[in-house]
Amino acid sequence: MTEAAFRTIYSEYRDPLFRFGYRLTGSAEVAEDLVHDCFIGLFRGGFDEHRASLKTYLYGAMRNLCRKHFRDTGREVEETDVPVNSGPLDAAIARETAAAVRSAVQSLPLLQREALVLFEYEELSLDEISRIVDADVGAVKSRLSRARETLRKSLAMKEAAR
Amino acid sequence: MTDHDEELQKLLRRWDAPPVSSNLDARISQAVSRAPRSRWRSFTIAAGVFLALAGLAAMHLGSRPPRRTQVETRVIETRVDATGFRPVPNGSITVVEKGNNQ
Repeated sequence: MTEAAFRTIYSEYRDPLFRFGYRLTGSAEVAEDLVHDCFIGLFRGGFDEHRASLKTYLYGAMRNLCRKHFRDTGREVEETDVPVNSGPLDAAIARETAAAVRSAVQSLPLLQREALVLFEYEELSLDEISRIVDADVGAVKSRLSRARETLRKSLAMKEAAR
Repeated sequence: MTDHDEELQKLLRRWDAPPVSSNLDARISQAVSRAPRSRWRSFTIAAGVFLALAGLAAMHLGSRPPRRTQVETRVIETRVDATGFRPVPNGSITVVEKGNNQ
């Protein structure tokens, strides 16, 4: 892969992969490290376009790096706090809502979380997700459905608790 | 999706991801500029160079005239010191038995 081709791919996929990593790990710092490793892996090793599309390959590589990170650290979510109670009221409420959503998403089991993040935030198709997570479409649908159900309940509970 | 839920979707969107820091771009640029080439790429380059050199060597050997086989050209000279030799007049050959020197 030439450096120019690599830079084009980097500028296109840097943000989506970072968001994906951030929402899986809960840490911007960790997500940046993983995006870095993901792209360096691509640059050094290239990828086989006959086996997967570039998009599927990159999300799959990022997913594997996140899972490796979880294995290495022994935890599935970074413990970084989000400040929720500073600034004007509206902003504070927005931050509180964001923190509640973040907490609810990160409480999901990993398989449900990755399916939800890829579908709801990254707007990938079920077919693409099934290739990235190496599961059939039915399994992805089932994970999404369970994730939504869990989120509805946990966010409703948080809303009720306020 | 059968359980598509717009309200939940809107709520989920309230959680934004922060922007990527410029530090990442710098790290990537640095890593790319000093990254070793991929093994396959290095191998293909090395193989290309080897084949080119082998081709040149074959061409060079093919264009040279065949080496001439070294022929033994030494002249063997027989020298006979015939000083004082006088041919025997009316000489005859006599066969003598072994051990009977007369």
